[in-house]
Amino acid sequence: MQAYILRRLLQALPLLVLVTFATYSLILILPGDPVLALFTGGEATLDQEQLAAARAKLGLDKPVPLQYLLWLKRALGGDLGVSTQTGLEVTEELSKRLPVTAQLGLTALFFSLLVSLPAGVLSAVWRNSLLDRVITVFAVAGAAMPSFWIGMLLILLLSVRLRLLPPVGYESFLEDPLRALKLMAMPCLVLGWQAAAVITRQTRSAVLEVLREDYVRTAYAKGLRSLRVLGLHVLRNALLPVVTVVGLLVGPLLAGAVIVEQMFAIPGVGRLLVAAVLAQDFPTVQGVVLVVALAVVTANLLTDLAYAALDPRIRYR
Amino acid sequence: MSEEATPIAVGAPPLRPLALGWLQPLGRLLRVRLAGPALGFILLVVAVALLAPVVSPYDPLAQDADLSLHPPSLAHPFGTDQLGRDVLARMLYGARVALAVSLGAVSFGVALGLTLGIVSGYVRGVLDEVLMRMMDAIVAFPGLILALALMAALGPDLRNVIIAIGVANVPWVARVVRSQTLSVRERDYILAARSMGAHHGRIMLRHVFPNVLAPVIVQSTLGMGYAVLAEAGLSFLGVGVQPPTPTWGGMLRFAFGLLHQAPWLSLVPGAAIFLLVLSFNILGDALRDVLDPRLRGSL
Repeated sequence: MQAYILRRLLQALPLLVLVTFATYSLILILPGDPVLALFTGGEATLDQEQLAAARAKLGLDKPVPLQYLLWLKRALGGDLGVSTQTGLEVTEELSKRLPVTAQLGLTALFFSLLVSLPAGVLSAVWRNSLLDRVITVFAVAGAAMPSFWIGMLLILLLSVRLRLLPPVGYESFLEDPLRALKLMAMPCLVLGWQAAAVITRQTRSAVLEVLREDYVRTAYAKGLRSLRVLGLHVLRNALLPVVTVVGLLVGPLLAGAVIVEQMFAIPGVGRLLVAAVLAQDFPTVQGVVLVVALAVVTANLLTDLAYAALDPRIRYR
Repeated sequence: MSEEATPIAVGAPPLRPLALGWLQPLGRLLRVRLAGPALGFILLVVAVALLAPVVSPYDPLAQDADLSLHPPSLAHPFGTDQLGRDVLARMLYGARVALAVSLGAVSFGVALGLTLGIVSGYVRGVLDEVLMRMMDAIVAFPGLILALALMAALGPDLRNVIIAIGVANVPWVARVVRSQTLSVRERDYILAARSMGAHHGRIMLRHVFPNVLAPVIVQSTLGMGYAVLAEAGLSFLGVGVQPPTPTWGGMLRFAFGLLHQAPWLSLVPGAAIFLLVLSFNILGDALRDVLDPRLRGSL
């Protein structure tokens, strides 16, 4: 297993180099002078001398590979530049907002797993039943519904008509747990909806596959009760591919968080990104994009390691 | 009649399929559950987009302060927005943007992904390794976040929206095409072409390209659905195609601020996006069933 971990970590290194280079390269496709984008949000408020000094400070007067290495060195030291919009350090801004997005994403994932795993299993066990059809319709529709539309429909129903939940806002779980739960219910539902659709479909197809295996037939032939066969033989094996899917959902959840945070006025990384894009605040855009990509790469790596730990066949391949 | 009785003359032109041969797969496609209605809805949106200037009852940009936020009526079946513009007219014209962006983004993704995938799978070695790691790097950026970053760099207009969404399509097409190419390049007809002295470029273009298209068609159809969602998402966030051009996502953006006063504004654009994406997803799955029976029922 240790050799597998080492091999997998070494494989991730070139990917990390490419991801960081791609993030840095965003500045190379900017129309106009990148110094202006990094310092003033694109406005030409610096004179030639200031421009030259800024260019030298950031290493932008050097060849591109060297520029990248200098940027990477600063980023590794926690210096992602200063927001042209707020004047705050991008790292500081990110460290304030990352826990908010993590809270949103993890809560949404938790609730979507709570719903989708049983739904997927039931759908497979009672294949072609009315329940299977209803669950499949929800799963297929869930994948096609725009999250912001689901959010609007929920606000219309739960806030405007039934007045059950406050429409928008944010509260930390540590400050006021009850209000936080009320405020997070709808955003989590919106964000978790598509994740639940994907996990349900994956669980259904994985369980169906395992149900056809010889060892399941043997277990039934031995006279084991259905629940025992399902819990002991089917789920243990069927949940393996589901682990992969959950790992792969980190990216879509972070992308979904952009829209959900914007809709429900949640001060997370996604809302920061939208504000930065609208204000052409390039250091912040780069910072958010880098953090998100690193989160995705790390999640994929952890998924592979978890998969290898759960399924010994993987690490010997 | 025995087989020997119908020899094919050496040098005779190859037998061509009947001109109506394409109807056969279409028939098989339409027999897949829900594929017919899905294709029908897509064709309806295409027709509406093409004929918008003819069928639209009003100018989608014409403002009328007296008609601000009128609920649905006979004169305005989907009501009017805050500037008194007819929602039906804006929906019809919005279909143009949705389709233009999705078609453009998928074409961009297919053109690049197909080229990179064929070259990568055919040449293999270091080039394959480098190209595929580059594709892995693009996949590390979630589609919408990559699109937002590119929009920040390129600026908001239709062409840039197409590029921003299209880039995310490239690795998916390239990976599928590469794996298909790896299998195709080992076939006997490639060996035959090579032994006849065919140039690598010719082999890739004439022999590999037509044989890797089936999964690309499936991937493209599913990619169209993703592109419609992504375009609507960018417009909803205010970084897509800019007002006053009508877009479905942009209409939802303004409807969101008026949920209490004018809830009808959010229903039609959202339903249109949902149905169009659902139709592309269903059609993509159906095409996969028809073109690649090995995958049938896998999802």
